[in-house]
Amino acid sequence: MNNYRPWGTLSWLIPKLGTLSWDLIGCLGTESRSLEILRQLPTTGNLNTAKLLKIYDTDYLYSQNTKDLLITRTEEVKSLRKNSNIEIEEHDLFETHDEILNPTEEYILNKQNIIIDVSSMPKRFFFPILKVLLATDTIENLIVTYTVPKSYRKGKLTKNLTDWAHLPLFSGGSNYKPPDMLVIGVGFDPMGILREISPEGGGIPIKLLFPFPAPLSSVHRAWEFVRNIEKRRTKEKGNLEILRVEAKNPSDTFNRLRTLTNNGQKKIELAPFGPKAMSVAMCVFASLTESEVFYTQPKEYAPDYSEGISEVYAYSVKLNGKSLYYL
Amino acid sequence: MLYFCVHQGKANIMNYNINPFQELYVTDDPNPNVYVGLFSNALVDLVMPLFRPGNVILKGVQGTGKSMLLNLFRPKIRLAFHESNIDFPIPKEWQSFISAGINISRSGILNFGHRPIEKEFDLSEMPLYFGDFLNYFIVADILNNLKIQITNSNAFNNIVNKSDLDNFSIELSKQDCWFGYLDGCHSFNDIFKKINERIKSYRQFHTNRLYNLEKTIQETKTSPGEPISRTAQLLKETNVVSQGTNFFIRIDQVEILLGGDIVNKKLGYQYRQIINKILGDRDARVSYKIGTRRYDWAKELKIFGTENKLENLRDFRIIDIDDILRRKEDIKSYIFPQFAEDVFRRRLINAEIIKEKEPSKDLLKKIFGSFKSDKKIKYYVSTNTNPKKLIGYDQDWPENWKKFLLDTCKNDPLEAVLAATWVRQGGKKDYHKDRLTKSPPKNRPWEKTWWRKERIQQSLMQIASRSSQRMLWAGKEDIIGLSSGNISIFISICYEIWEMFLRNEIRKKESRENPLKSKNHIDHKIQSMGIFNASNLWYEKISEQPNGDDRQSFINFLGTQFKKWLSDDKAMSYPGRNGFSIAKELFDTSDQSMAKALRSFLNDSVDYGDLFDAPHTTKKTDRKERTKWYLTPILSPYFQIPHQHIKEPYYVEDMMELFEWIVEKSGACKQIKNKKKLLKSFQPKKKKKKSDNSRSLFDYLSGKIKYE
Repeated sequence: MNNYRPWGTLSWLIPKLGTLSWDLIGCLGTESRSLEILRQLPTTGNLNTAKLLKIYDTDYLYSQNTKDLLITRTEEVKSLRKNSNIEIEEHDLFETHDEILNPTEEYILNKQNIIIDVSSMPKRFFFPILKVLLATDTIENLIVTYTVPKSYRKGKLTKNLTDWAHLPLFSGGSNYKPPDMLVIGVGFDPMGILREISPEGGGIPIKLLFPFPAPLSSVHRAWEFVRNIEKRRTKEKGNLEILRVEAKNPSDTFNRLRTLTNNGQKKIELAPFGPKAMSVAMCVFASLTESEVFYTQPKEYAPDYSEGISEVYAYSVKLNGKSLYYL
Repeated sequence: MLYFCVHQGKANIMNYNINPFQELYVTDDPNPNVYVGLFSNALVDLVMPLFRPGNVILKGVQGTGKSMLLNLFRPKIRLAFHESNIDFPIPKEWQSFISAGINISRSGILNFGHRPIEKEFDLSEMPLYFGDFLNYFIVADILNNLKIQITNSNAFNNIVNKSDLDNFSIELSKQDCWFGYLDGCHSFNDIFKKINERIKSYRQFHTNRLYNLEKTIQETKTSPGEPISRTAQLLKETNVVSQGTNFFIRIDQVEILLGGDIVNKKLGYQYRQIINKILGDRDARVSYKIGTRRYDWAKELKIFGTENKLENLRDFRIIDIDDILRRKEDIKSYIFPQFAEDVFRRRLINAEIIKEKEPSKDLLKKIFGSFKSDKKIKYYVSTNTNPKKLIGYDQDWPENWKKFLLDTCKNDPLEAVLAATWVRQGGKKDYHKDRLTKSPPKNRPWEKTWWRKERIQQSLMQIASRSSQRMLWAGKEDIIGLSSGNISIFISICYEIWEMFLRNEIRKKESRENPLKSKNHIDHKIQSMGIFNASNLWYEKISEQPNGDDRQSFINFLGTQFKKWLSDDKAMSYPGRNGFSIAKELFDTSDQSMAKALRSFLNDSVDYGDLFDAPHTTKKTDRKERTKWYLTPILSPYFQIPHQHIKEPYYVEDMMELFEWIVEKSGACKQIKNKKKLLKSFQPKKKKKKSDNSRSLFDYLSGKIKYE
């Protein structure tokens, strides 16, 4: 049975949850949107503490642009919240699962209301962190926020992919069984997924979750993504299916995954290449079902990945101690 | 709409809605029914050691067919052959085997090292956990495959005797290699469950932060490979399988261990050493079959816990598919065209375009025809109304030469271009004045077989360019040449050509072409468009592979450079400059970390099929051992350069030149960027005057002068 999962703009959702004091896990990145949550929270709710992850990709050592932008953002953090308890924590993109999660686990101890901002957070980090947050009973309220930028870079957004591999904590809980289907979130760039998409593919049906409605420019890129996959897949009936989901609404994606899997009964593999809201839903679903999640983590992100701020969305995942997402 | 044709007395259907080459790859986990229909056994005889006892490393660049061969060991594939009533391609005498396997990237084994087993954990123990998981995973797969064989005994020549399974299980649980972990198991189901419980515990530990690994697991870590061998041994001793049964174990994607991203680099090498240890034990009870890219295998041969290294022929045998499928000097040993023909025929049969028993000799020739140089020229010059531009002579050349060239061009433009080229080769500085002072020679030296052969492709390229035409590739010979022994490329080319053909025919309401029926092959222009699409696709695919953006940038630099060299070289003095050659010595003597990084980058480019390398027998008098590199031929249409490799490639004589190409021009190997500064610091300053206190490299190295 579907239930109501509140979501909307940050300024709409936060006041509706009462006068709660929030602790934030965010990311200090090169994009302006990485700090938008910090800019907006003071006017919409109480910010208790914040931990910002400064994650260095492999380009950091060599790109002056990346270095300069990170310095600018760091300065902005200082000016934004002079008296607040904001901690900036440095990480390497490819560090171990333990190095990603230990500081977070320590940070959330005795905290009840958590916001995780995934706007600029790589999936290699936000997937395991969100999984841990979901599994932490002491957390009463959990909100995921995401800032939509004004525009994305026209050219390549990422460079130098790694192998197709599990995201941390998402290598499946039970012994290997062939999956019933592969569900791919459709995004801007197939990012190496094409090499995993074979016409045979073990005969596994592929479901493409197509984000719509979405801005026109995003829709064009999403169709190009689909076209590339279709080119490498037999047109056998039922072998490849395109399913529309609402780009900004993780609840829609979650419900779709439930339906596809007969409420988690079927085994699926997930490939989160689509919009962040869709990926959040995949993360929550995979956490509940111990599904495997595969990704081709890029080694480098374009420093100018996005520009400007359009809107900050907030998604309530846990409310008053109850998870809003369940099977 | 369907068209019927009669071929060799049998009805065939030309279906204009199906592309028989849609299935581009046979992957790590194929659909058995599709696999059986498409499998070509043309390679089986050439890789026979793979199916015999003994450890085998199956090497090859991506797409050469490694997975296709290794998949023959999978029970579901064998079952599909049986169900399709098709003979299993492995020779009968080697069909009695039990197989199992692990896929390094999918099994979850890469999690080891991401979370310490307990607080105060000594990381040096982690490889032992890796080995333990590997043991349990493979034994679980052996047991699972036994179940499949029992359920479908006819498909597997009835080699499993299920009545003795519980006896085997009791004996197996008593083995000391488990350190008591299987104690209390009294049946096959008991050990199956217990072994899978352990795998599940490991998985839970890595996916659930609240789960801790039981002490019993920590205290019962098994020795790499031993439980697998004991399982095989006991299955024979308890007569579950006969003494002649072989045990073949696949380990897929070992290369991921050395990638340095998903696994900590140091641990990755230690994990590989664990696999090396298993092979180095040379245990006759079990044979390991490992598919790997061309250069990855040799990156780490050390055996875990020792200073010893694995040795070829002693610990394993290498089967190099690239070598098998590459064209050699002796054309008789070139088997790729037969392999391609067989794959092509099977695709048409599978799509029900031709019948299975239909004679189909040289089907490739029938459908694609042949597109020789003279035909290509006709296409190129068809729109060129300016013979002067086509020949490319200079305004100040003597009139008798100009007339000769223009007259020749009327009948044979290629002849005229070659003659003009010959003129430009005379002399060193004022080249045209040497040969132009005399009349055109009657003996036509530009017609000498080798001189002409070496320059014909470059001539075609220049003619196409001067006629503002795109170079064309079509016909069987070009398709085989562009495929360069890689069956995935071959299928991709066929797919794109067929797609163009269907697109062209589908618009026609009547008189559709049927290349099977008529004497005409698929139109060469259509083929050329398809090949160009395939080339684009392979260029785009470079960036889809791990670290592919850096390699794509380098390939782009090389392709553009080759094009410039070949276009600017009007005298065609360097027709081999669509490749480059480096002496092995240069890698040995240059700054070691830089040379290693550059060499590794080139090797990766070969492994992923972007470059093609081969030993180079130099024409230089020094006879130094050299290697030459070319773009993989399918990229030639993208860059509009000839795909044939002739004459001497470009000689890279300075490591800094390679550094410039890879690091500065392509932005790859960023980690060695600072090395340039280091190298520069070793360069002696220019001598100002002889009387100055001039500094030499020796002075720096000997410490007489401090670095600036």
